[in-house]
Amino acid sequence: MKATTTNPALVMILVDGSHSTGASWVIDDKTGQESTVSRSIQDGVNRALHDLIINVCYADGVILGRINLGVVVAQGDEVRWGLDCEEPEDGWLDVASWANLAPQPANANEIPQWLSLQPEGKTPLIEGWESCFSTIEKYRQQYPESSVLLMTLTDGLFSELDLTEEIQDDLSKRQASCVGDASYLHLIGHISPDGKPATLFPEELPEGEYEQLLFELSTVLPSHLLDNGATEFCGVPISKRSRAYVHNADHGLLSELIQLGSRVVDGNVVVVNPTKGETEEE
Amino acid sequence: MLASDWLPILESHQDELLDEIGLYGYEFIQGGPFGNTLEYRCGAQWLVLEAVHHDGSKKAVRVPVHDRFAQEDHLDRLRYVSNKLKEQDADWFPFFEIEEYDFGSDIDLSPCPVMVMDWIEGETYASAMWKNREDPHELENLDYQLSNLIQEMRDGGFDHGDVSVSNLRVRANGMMMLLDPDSLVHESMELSESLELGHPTWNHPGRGVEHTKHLHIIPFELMKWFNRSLQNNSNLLEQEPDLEEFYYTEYDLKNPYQSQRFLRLMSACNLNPHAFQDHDLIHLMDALEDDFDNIGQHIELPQKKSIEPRVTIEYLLNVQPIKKPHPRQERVKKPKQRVLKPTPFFQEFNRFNEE
Repeated sequence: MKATTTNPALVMILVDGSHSTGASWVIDDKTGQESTVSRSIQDGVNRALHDLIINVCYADGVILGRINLGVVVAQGDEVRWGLDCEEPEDGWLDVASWANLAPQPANANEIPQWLSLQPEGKTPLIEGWESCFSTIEKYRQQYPESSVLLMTLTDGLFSELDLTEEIQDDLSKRQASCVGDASYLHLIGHISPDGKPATLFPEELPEGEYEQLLFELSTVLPSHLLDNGATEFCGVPISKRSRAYVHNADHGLLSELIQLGSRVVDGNVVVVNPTKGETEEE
Repeated sequence: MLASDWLPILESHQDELLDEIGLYGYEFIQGGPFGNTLEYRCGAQWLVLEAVHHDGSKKAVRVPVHDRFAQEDHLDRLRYVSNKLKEQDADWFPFFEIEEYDFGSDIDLSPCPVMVMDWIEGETYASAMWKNREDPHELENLDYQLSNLIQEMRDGGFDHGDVSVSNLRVRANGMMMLLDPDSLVHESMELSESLELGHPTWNHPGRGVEHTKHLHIIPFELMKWFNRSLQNNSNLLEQEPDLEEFYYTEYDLKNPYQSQRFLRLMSACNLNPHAFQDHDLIHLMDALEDDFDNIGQHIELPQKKSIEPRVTIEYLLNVQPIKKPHPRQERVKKPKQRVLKPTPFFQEFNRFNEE
């Protein structure tokens, strides 16, 4: 999944901005420090965008156009453009247009804030996916050889959605048709207040109607992560069948999942447990 | 660890780190994409920081991005290569040394290897080709410099597993230098396997870790024939290419006879794609289609010229009886100059010598 100026990767982020993401959760087990789910998502996304610039786009003193970006927020009754600029006609911005959208940080090493969330209303997530799939379809026509990353971050109360089987089938088919044979990764981070135990990078269809939908929509983890010998991610066992889906992960794993999004774009993934003698391309 | 993980750690350890590795009076240059981090160059194996002394001299400080390249067996290999380069007084590769620093609990590696390397000013070979794409004379000179560098490397008994347009730097005086010590090996090392496979758009698609010899042949031929084709057709580079995919793609190297890009090279070299022709570009394409082990059947493998070992100061001090010892002085390296442009006479002379 190498992003180049000739074949820039599309990073598409779909964020749940619903009222329920204003709920608090513990972000530091040792100190008991709390934050809102919304804030965790916002910080994770901003950190991931910063990492994309630092790790993928910056070379020899200039920012190269290797990453095009679309951020949409599903909130209330609409799916809105998530960055501080007019919504682009295509649905994505090139790096020269999005890198400087965040206000200059006051302190050195502070992460710029591209995304700012104010939780309110419901979560029109299905419309959010439809919007993303349309953008991906247009992108594939313009850049047929580029790779695409879609990241969905939600605390989705799916009971509020009219999720019939037909709609679920349509979503899966729509995703498959818009992606085609592209190098494609769909990461899904799902934090819900349902009290169910965590489901982390599952290999098999999990229990629960909504979990099954998200499992079906997520892709397997990128092969180069496993080709480099990794058998776990942040302490969670993974295999070539593992889906890029976590449900009810703790704050740490959710952050890592979002960071993973920025690390798979150029095929440069941190290997958790490399075995001696394995190789990596420069 | 990626650049984004390393930069804040390096910033906080800056003063102690530079002192510990012997770079007194140096400081890291600030910069980065937002101007609020250290300036850096990103690689898959090492993150490169730019350290400058108040007298203006510069060093490259490299910290490992990938743990595998910080393991002791690889560091031993780097030290061995470093000594070999020093023995030969090689001027085609920057001098480097491996130091150590303890970052404490900030990173898992303790102590962490830190490579200190001479800083090489200059542009990448990619950038030089792009800038001079409409100047066949300059392109010819770049091609000549690359050939010279490769010959010097071969003569010294070295091979390099990741020769690419980003690992070659063209200095202001026109001389070229090769970078990336992780991929540099010497024939005396007798390795059983390679640690990496080089950049996928500059290497034979069938190359595996079991291949340890003739690693630079295919990248060199790919660059040579791209440059020579560009001399005839500047349109081969229509827009400024990305270092990660300068001209060839992985698909092109796997399927050279189905590749439009190779077709364009053939056209630039006045070759007919539908006729059998005895031409080195065709031999390169055949080598790409065949197994890596068979590249010698298509491309003439280099014959190493025997070179007289140079006498070192250590040799003179320790081996030869010295009647009147002089105080040891720091050696001042006399700059060598390669011929920038071959004149017809030298071309003829060299051809005569080769024959």
